[in-house]
Amino acid sequence: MDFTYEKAGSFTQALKLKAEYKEKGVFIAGGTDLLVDIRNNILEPEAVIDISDLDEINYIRQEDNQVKIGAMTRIAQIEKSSIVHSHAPILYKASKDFANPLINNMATLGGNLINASPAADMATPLLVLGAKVVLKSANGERVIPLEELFSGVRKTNHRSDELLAEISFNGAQGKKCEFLKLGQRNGTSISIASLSLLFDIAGGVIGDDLRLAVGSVAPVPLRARKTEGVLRGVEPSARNIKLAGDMLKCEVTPITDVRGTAEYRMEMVAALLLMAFQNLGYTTK
Amino acid sequence: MNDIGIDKQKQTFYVVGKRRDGVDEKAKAAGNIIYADDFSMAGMLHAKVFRSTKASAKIKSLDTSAAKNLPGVVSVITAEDIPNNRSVTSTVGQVADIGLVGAVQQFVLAEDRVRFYGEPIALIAAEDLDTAEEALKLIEIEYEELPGVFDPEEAMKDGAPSVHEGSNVVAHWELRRGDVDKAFEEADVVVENAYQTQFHEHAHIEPESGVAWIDDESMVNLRVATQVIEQYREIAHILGIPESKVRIRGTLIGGGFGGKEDLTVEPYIALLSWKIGRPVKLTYEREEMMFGRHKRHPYKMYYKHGATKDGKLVAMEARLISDSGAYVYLSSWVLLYSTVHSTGPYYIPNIKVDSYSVSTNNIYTSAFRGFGAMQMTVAYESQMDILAEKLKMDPAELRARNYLNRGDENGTGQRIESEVLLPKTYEAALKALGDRTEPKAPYIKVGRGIANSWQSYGRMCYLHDTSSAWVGMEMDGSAVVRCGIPDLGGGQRESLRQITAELTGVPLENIHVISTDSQVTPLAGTVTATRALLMSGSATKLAAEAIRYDLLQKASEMLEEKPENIDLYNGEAFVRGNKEKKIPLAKVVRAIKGEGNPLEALKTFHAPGAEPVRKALLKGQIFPDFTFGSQAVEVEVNTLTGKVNVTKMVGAFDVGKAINPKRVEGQIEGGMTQGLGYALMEEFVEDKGIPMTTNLTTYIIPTSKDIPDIQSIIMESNSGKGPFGAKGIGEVTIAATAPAVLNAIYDAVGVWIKRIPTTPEVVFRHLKEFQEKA
Amino acid sequence: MKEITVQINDERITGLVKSSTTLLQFLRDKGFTEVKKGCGEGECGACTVLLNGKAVTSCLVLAVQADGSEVVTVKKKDDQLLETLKEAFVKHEALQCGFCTPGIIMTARWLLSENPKPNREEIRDALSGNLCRCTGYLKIIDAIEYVTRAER
Repeated sequence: MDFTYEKAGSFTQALKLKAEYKEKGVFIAGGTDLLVDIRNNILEPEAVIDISDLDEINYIRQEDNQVKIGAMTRIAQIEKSSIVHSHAPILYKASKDFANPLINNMATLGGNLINASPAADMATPLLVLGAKVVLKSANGERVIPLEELFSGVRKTNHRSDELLAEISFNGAQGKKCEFLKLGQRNGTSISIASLSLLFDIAGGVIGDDLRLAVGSVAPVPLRARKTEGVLRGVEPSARNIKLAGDMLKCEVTPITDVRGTAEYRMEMVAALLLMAFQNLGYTTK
Repeated sequence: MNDIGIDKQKQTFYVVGKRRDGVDEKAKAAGNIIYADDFSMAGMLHAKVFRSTKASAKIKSLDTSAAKNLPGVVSVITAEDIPNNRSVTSTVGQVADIGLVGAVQQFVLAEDRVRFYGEPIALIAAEDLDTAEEALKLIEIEYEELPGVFDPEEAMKDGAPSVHEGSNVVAHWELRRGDVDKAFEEADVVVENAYQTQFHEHAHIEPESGVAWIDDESMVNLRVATQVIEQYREIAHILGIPESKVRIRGTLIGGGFGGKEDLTVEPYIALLSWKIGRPVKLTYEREEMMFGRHKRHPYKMYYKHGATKDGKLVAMEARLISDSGAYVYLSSWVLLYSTVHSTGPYYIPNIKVDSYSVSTNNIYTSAFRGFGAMQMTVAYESQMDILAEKLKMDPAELRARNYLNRGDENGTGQRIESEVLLPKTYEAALKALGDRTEPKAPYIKVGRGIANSWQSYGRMCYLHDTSSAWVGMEMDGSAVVRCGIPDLGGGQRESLRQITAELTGVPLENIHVISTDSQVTPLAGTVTATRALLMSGSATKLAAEAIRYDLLQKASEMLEEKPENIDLYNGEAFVRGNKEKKIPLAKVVRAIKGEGNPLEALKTFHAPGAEPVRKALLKGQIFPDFTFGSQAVEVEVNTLTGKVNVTKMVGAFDVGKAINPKRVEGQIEGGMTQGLGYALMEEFVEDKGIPMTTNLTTYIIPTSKDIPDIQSIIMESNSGKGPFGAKGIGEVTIAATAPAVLNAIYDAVGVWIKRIPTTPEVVFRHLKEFQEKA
Repeated sequence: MKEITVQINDERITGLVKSSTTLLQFLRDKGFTEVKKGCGEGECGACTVLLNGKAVTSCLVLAVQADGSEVVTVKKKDDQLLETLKEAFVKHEALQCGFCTPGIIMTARWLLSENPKPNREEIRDALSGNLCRCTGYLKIIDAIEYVTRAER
């Protein structure tokens, strides 16, 4: 099944081409999801619009304490970035475990998010970082919280004439963070369940800004707000973490698929939560 | 030849036993090898296979006209276009049609029924691949679904849907010795458990592939990745032409593991090319490899052991049930191997084993490295550790009290004729684990497990296996070896080169091996059953020895020295201990050829033979010999998630004699890695015959991050039946990893898991159940 | 159909491709059969080449995307590090059937261009996108580590 290939020389041109083809045209960024979907007959586009070379949206910048990452930035670049290392170690961890070097060399941050898989590895770290995304169209741009981008399994809220241009978040230096991904093997895996945790702690008490997000256990990568409520302002004791885990199990709506049953996934979010705290040195006695 | 006692005469090994670099390896690293799909011919067409999307159905109607009419499509073939639409797998490579196999039908293309998802129904040949793929979509088919059966134990019951006709049990074997009932009554301890293994996929990185063409003499030619070039006979039979009119050239194979042992693309490309008159290429896509090609048999194994309080095994009873899938293929033989190996490498005075292979509408099952012996290790090595625990004995000690020794009889009454180094391999593996690793987190528990395995090498004796090889010297002192043996990456050809270099003195790089051509190279049989070194190695050794004899005789004249004092190495004949007295090999060769001796030898090696197996009760010598070894692993169990990570792996094997130690290590490391995948993560899943794991994203195999540095310990008893006392190593290395992991999980968390793979979820559920009981 | 020109090793190659033709297909159709197809979906790494210096799975790159680019395969001449890697692979028996080898050597080549002195863990991680069913990876890691020591 063939399609028309259009290379976008600029951001503006990309939007123009998309406006021409509408839903019959898809963007190709890293190609690591798109070409697999085409091979598996999940997508049959009439046109493929290549935005992978758009340097104008390939960058990692730090402005004051804000980190801005262009949508076409490759996962490998994120892994190597000193800005990401210092300002968002949780994102560094996610990029390191993303897939493998060959895929990471091609896959883009924007592609991973727009693909909107519930298992998107870059999503939960960005959710706990409170990331915003810039959606640009020919008519202007709007900025929305990342959380509002995901609307369902492989579904996003951006309009068909919009392109995801940038992801930004405030630096999280000095915060406790952990990213965990449970796969069927150590190598490249689609996660069975994943978890991102970010918090401050002072005087043995978790701060009010603790954030928690989980992947592969709901139609979208999920900010677990109720569980956050259980953990904020309390000590990271075994009892509190257990209570939080129980709440987390209620917040998620996993499915059964070839990688695991719904029941197991539900148990795993609680398990990963405890693991995250223990990795950070809490309740290890 | 024995005048100068070849074996005694060879005092020093210059090439055999050394870590020599391979000629083939150099070409492979350079990217020069032309694998099956790398080959193209002018005017070549591309083929595709149209496959069933139902697990059990009648074909009500099949309309290929739209496909045929697509521009660029040259031919569409269905069953009615095939002269003999039966593929026979009874005695691959052999002449005699014996054994309990071959009775059940197998089709090249489905006729009026399909019995598994993925069953081939039609063939398309088109000018290019895209057109062939388009044509697939244009074939119109109507199915009428029929009841299917998807569990072998269900399929054995009365009233289960018949996959073929009548009973679904397609094979049955027995072991009997002594009186198990009495022995169990008298035993101090009895351990009884059921074990389950899964469908396992070969996942060789190279897809099945080949090209067929009709040459200017109207010969059917195939150039194909195959472990068995003797299948030219099957192709001839399918086409209804004489066997002498089909020629198969086997390529260097990009991984086989038994996946390229049965017919793969051969009948399809042969049929299309023969019908059309143009070359045809067929290469499978990864998805169709997953759902359309055979798998390792899942087994349900019911085991019962009885022992004295001193740890002497007194009885063993087992019931083994394998899933043969939709077509029999090699299920009966795999079951035979299972039955013989089911006791483990232990002497047991009272034995009762009954095994059954049962048809279902699942993917069909056939050969895979280990060939039925492998699944048994999961059962018997778990049983041994469970027994040891019940007896409060060290597992090493329990085993040591029961090992088969040289001279003992195994479960069929076959005497073990070679050394059994198991106590040594077990201890070496244990020792090499070193100090126990400290758990790196509070939720991690560390455990260690060791398991033994034994595996036959050489095919079943009743097949009267033979292998031939030709060695010839060139005028300039270089040499050519011609041998039909295929090479699937285990260094089969390199072994022949090394053996020839050792015996003739020709430098390794000056020996050309021409192999794997059914009409040009002497037939050497299959590269299966860990037979290549035993058979083709021995045949080559015989031929090279004959050459050596002539060389030594002539060199003796020319150097005026007794032949027993002369050795051959590095292109020279020289007197031992006297560096000055030497002569270039080329001179010796010219002298010999000048007298009318062409200095070439064609020899056939015969494996030990035996009477045909005509009854279910297996008795006597079934196999030429066995290889023994042990594996040890250390694992980390994440008690929160159930994920098992292997931190240490050791394999210790007695290979008789290592022709090239680094290749032996490669077999140990590669086999154990494949075994680890089998233990932890690999499972081909079908839901009522519909495949769920259809690519390498959903069927996952170990990556570099899943395997620790493996330690290989090579032991050499020099007692094997292969060249220079070698045993075979290819299969035994895959078997014991799974039980070693199961034993290690028990050591870590106190839970016996009796099924594989031990995925995180499986381990988690076992842990949860265990905690809830406590 | 579109005409593309790609620098492949030491040659400039021009060809007509469909939009959906992958770089892998283009390379193999043009005779660079050392680049292997194992799965077609970026899972096995057998198709690994260097694309403008980066190791990628060529089955997930459209040929048209490689127009004007540089592709390097295992047959590139005059690359001493590449030759050293091949020799090390042979010496260490870092291959058996050899089918995954061209891809793995390109990943190794890329790794050493990014990180001339990787430790064993870094080598192991770098290889995680290349599947090998024969060797168990140990000797591959040994071979690459040997090259890093040799280059010292």
